[in-house]
Amino acid sequence: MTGNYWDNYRLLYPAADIDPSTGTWDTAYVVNVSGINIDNHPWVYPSGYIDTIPPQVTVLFPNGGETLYGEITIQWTATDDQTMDLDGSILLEYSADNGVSWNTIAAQLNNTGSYLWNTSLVSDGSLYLIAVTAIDEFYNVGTDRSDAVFIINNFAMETPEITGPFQGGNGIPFSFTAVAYHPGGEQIYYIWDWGMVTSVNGMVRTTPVCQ
Amino acid sequence: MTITNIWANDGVYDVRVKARYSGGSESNWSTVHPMVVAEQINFSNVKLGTIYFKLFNFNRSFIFSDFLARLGMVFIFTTHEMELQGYATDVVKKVDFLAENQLKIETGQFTDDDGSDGFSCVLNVTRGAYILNITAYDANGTLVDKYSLFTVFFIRIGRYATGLGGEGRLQRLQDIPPLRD
Repeated sequence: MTGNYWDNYRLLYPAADIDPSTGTWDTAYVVNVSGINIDNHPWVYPSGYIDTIPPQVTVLFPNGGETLYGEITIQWTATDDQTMDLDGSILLEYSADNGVSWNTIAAQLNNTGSYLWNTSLVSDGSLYLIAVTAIDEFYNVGTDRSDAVFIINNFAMETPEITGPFQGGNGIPFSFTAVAYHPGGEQIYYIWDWGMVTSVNGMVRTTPVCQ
Repeated sequence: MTITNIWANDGVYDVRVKARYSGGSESNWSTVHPMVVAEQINFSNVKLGTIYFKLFNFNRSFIFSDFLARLGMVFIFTTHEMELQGYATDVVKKVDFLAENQLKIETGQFTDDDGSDGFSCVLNVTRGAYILNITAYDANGTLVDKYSLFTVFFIRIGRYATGLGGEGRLQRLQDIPPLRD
């Protein structure tokens, strides 16, 4: 589709009205108090106008060679000669096999230039690429991908072990220790679950050693 | 990392932990570390709400009073010294006995770290109202449990009540009237 047919405009401007006196289509727009027309598309493009220039997209990060883990911020720039902001048209994809296959990270994003991606949701690998795609109003597609592969390594985390007492009285402070290790030296937080009472017996007691 | 937790109620608790990187990834939950929260130590021969009569060889008589129990009191009428016994679970390896006179006149203290024949002690105190504490430790010296009786009237009768035998903190030896010939 080139965007040069009324059907295309109808798709782009579902709220547009036809002006019977001129035979042209117009979109509803608003003039704000300063008198500035804030409708980005006050008039459809002239009949026969065709934009063939795709958006210019550049992947900024990750652009190749990085070793990443956890949440990262994908960064890009995307501009177009006609479409003003490209909002709602950004598609983010990743490839774990150097571009052979692609998977969607997010679609129809606004052109904010950044997106937080949790790499722990994908498997570790060394052939990752990121692709960013933008589509303008004439359905020209501009895309860019990482210049080279990057590595995702979330360091399969060892399950920590608990050391501490196994029995004691209520109201007494008891110390428990857990140790985990991160090869990248990243800060580690521990989440403790102190358990629910699985059995209550008022005077739960192990074998007494004396009277 | 080491963290401390206190359980307010008895029961069996399944403790577990998992690690989380600042990057967001998490480990699996650890294997469950069962924690039994229950009484580990108590007095076996001094019970709340009880009046004991430990006179000469008749030292097994007692009366229980629910009223006294509600008041948190214990009475011990005895011709003996203060004999305390505790029962403990097998995790307990050392027990501290402490008798504090409520008027701060004297304190009796004893540590029993040999539980092979049970935990017990004889405290050389005179008479009055005492706070009795029993504290249990495991093999590493870590506090395991403790228990207190806050109002124990220890009433020592007979000639021993005067504190003969070097225990006279309330009455000097020369104040004791001589025995008749």
